[in-house]
Formats: sequence, C-alpha cells, structure tokens
Amino acid sequence: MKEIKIQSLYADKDHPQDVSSPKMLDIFLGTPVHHLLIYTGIAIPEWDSQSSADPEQVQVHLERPIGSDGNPFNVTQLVHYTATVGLASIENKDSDFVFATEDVGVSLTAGGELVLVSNISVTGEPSWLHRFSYQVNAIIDVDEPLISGIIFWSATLASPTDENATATLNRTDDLFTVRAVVIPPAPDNPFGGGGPPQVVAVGEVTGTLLEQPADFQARFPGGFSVPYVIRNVPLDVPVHVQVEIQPGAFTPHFSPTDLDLRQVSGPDPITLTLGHMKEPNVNFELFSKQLH
Amino acid sequence: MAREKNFPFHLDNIEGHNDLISYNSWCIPIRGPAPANVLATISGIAALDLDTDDDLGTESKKEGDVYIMTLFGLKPTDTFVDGSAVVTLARVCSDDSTKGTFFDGDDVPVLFALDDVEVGLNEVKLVHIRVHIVVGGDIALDKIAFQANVLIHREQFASTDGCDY
Repeated sequence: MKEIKIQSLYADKDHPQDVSSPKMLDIFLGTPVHHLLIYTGIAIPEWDSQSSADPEQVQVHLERPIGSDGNPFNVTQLVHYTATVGLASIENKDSDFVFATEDVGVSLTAGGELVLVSNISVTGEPSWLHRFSYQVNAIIDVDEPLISGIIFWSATLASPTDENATATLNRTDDLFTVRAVVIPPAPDNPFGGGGPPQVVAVGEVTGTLLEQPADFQARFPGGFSVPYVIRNVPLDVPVHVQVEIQPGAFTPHFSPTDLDLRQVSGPDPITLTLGHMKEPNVNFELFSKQLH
Repeated sequence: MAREKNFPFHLDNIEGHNDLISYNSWCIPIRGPAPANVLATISGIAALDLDTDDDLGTESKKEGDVYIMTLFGLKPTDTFVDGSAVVTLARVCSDDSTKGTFFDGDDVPVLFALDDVEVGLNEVKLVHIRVHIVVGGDIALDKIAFQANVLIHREQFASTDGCDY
C-alpha cells in the first residue's frame, strides 16, 4: 500500500509560502462563554503528480486566538466545528486529470492548537494542485481567566409588563454594571477592614433579558435574568464581584435606594489560578430591602 | 455570454446584471472582538464566464483581479471592523480547440488559480470580495463560489435590519 505523505503548513504571517490570505476572526459569543473562531485562507501544498493518483495529507496549523495582553491563548476545548475546502489553483499539461480534496476535518492538539486536516489527490502527466481554499468555523473555549453567572429577580419585583410589580423595569438592556474588584488591606485599621475597592476587570452583560433558567423557575416563577461575564480576571488575586444597578434601569415605587443585589452562589472572594481559570455560576439576586 | 477578457472584472446583481447565483446573507449580534457587535455572512456563486482561447505552451498566463460586489451594505453610521473570505473554483472547463503545442497536438496545458482574496467596501459601503486570479491555456473559468464574513460595529440597531434577534 502506498504510504501517504503528510505535509504541514502554517497559517500565519510568518509563513506566506504556506498559506495565502490567512485570516482569523475571533468572536466572543458571551452566552455561553465560548468563542467562535472563523479561519479562512488559501493553503499552498504545491502537490504534483507524475502519472498515477498521488494522495497527500495536508495539515494546516491554525493560528491561536490572541488575548488582550497580546499573548496567544491555548484552545482548551473544541466544542463544535464546521469546515470546508475547495480547489483554488490547479494546473495540468495533459487532457486527462483528477484534482481532489477528498475530505476535511479539524482536530485539537494536546498543545492547544487547532489543525485542519485534508486529504488531497492529484492525477495527471503532469498535474499540480497548487492551492486549496478553506474555511473553518470552530466554537471553542480558551484558557482565559473569567468569572460568569446570572443576575436574576422575581417578576413581582420588576417586570417590563406587570404594572403591579414593586419596581418598573424601564428598559431591557444596560441594566447593570459588573466589575471585579480587590480590596487592599488597610494595616492601620484596628478593625481589620480594607481600603477602597480597586477595579481590576470590567464585566459585561452578555445577553438580553430572559425568563429565568429552568432551575430558577421553581424558586422564582415568572422571573427574569441576564447573564454576565468578567474576562481577563487577574490570576492569584482574591477578587470580589461587584454588581450595581445602572441609573434609571429600574424605577422603584418607593425609595430609589430600596433595591439591592446580593451574591447567592459561588465563592467570595474568588481566586483564579493557572489550574482554575474559570468560575461559573457566580449568581446575584436583585431584591427589595423593604420586602425582605 | 462570455465577458470582456479584461481585468479587473466586476460581478454584481445590480443594474440588470445577474452575476451572483444562490446569493444569501445574514447577520447576528455578537459580543466582540471590540468594537464589533455584528457578524455578517454572505455567500453565493459568482458567474465569471471567463473564456480564453490561449495556448499556455506559447502564450503567457492572464492574471488580474475580480471584484465580487455583494448586495450587503453597511449603514452610513456602521464601521467595518474586519473581514475574511473563502473562494473556490466552482465550475471550470478545458478546451482543446486551440490544439496546444506544448507537447503535441493533443496536449492542452491549463491553469486555474485563485491566488489571493480579501474583503473590503466600495464607495457606497457595499461589501466586496477581491480575488486575484491567474489562468492559462484554452480554458473557461465559469464560476467561483464565495463566502465572506464581516465584523461590523453598528451604532444603532433597528427592528427591521435582521440583526435584532
């Protein structure tokens, strides 16, 4: 049986001879906290045949997503992918020829790199499959330190439609400000308190107003929630998650200071490390001080 | 009908042209990379209908740019953040009518190449795909399949722009 040759190509700006027009779009999906990576390019295997069907396996090493600090992330999970390849540049000097991209797949290496794998084949005397195009859409996780959760409340507290609710929900977006803060020690404080909170990462609400997830429906039937995420949380530092109501988001029927938020699940403080990069389910409840 | 054999080609579906087949597009709201908040995907098959009668054995290759002008436009207040595209050969033919001379009377050397691709905007903010093409021999490069992915920053969403779900 003929041994299939394997050729490795690298889709980055340092290897223009391997891949033309390499691009990666890194799209943060928010909820759930995955990334959608869209890779496109024109691989240049320059594979030729002298007569018979000559197969080759091409492995295109795809670029890693880049973090806000400029360093590449490792891909920790390949959740789903779609991939396609097609002929881009072929040449033949005889009337009989075959050019084939036989299959395509994407794999995740132990080193946290995505690789497109395609078996190609050429027949002709001579024929060249100079280039093939590819697109990979991959939903992935990266080793990015983050905290995520939901902020929820009961329908009796605030509703976009129920006029009998305690507070009026004035909009369905921009409801909360989310931050990760550290509270530095205050050694001169005899009661052991800390200094003023310092913001170390700013979060964002990553979805619009939804009815409660199923596991909250039993406790808060008909309630609402929004998901949030705080990315690029510093490692090895105990942080607290601070959630505040955006001005004007809710209009209480009584004192404007009567609405408050409390953390109802997850640790506090939270310390992320290289071995524990993600803290999900750090959930907050919006409540009325008057009703509790 | 075969087009003029002059680069650059402009393929579109406006002003009575029907160059783009199986054309489709959609867009969805996204959460970054900042400042992008919309991802648009545009796909179809562009009918180039490039037909040459050259002999690659004695005549040089032809090359130049083809612009696939999509119907997807940015709003005046939108900003183009980034884009990528994939293009593939969708329909190609070789033709021995010139009885090429490279080897003997029956040999017809041919070359079809999509060497480079990029996404951009034209002057009215319609998304276009520029493809650098090289062809040689007595060939027809009839169709090119394409898909473009465009990241956009949209200042304001409207209920009718298809990006609010």
